[in-house]
Amino acid sequence: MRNRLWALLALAAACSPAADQQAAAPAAPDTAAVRAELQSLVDRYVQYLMAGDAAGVAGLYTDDATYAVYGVPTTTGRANVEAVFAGYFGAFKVTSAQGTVEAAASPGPGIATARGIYTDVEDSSGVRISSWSRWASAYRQAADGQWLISYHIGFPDSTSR
Amino acid sequence: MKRMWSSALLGAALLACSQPAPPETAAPAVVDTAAVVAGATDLWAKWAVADTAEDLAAFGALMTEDARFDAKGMPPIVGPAAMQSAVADLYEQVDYLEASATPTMTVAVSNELAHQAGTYLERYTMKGKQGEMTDYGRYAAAIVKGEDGQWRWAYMMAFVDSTVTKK
Repeated sequence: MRNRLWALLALAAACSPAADQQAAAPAAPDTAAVRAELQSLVDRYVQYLMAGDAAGVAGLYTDDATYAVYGVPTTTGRANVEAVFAGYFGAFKVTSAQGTVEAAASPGPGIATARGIYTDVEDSSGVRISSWSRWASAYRQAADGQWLISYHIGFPDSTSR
Repeated sequence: MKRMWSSALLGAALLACSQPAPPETAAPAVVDTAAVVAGATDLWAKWAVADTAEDLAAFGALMTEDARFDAKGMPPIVGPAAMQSAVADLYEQVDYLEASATPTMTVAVSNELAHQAGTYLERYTMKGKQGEMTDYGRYAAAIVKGEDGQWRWAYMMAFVDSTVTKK
């Protein structure tokens, strides 16, 4: 549908008198807008973590995503990412969390990268654990415009009990 | 595929117009993936040489002026000078015998930008102590090609997964 609309707009533009004087360069991605969208994704990620929703977390990844986080073997594929989180939620309950995009870039249409920080408080069999982490991700934009995580790497900086 | 379909529609639309066709716009540069991968490979080869030679100048030349390095156990490092300072501290304690990286994924975003992930190892001895150790780690990096044709790290996140001691 979007392509058809684009083609119709192109047709209208091509038939206008000024068309031969306009370059049809693709618009550069709006980095600020992309960053806001990625922060929104991180916010949803946090909500799923606090809800213990492994399918919800995995749904934020591409089908072929790679998850490479300290303490976990590198995992590829949305279903395997979901299994990782299902196991995690079986042992931990996230009671509070916050993720922040510190920097983002969109080097081309439909692709983006970001890095940021993540803090949370987890409960494991009555033991309260606070952790601080750094992370970096790559993203691809789906056909519906939603950003999905195609690659994620991260590590904890510190942990306290 | 959708983009090709749209382009075909646009082409048909332009032919349908009675106005002269607009001048050709510059086509997006074709990404030479092999050249990008070769550039990234060359960068890692230079790192291996610099690391084992403990060559701070060469190490600093591997990254852009505003490059950021996030490594577990270290605060964020920004720029070659900060990296050289951090590495110099390491070289005071460690003799690196071997360094190598094995990319597991390289995405040639453009002819000047690659996103890469992989594993690496560093084999070393602690100064004044016997026994070799090998660190195995994972990394992700953004690698860019400068105007001088050299590929450099613009960003890297890395952590050591495990360390093996050989008596």
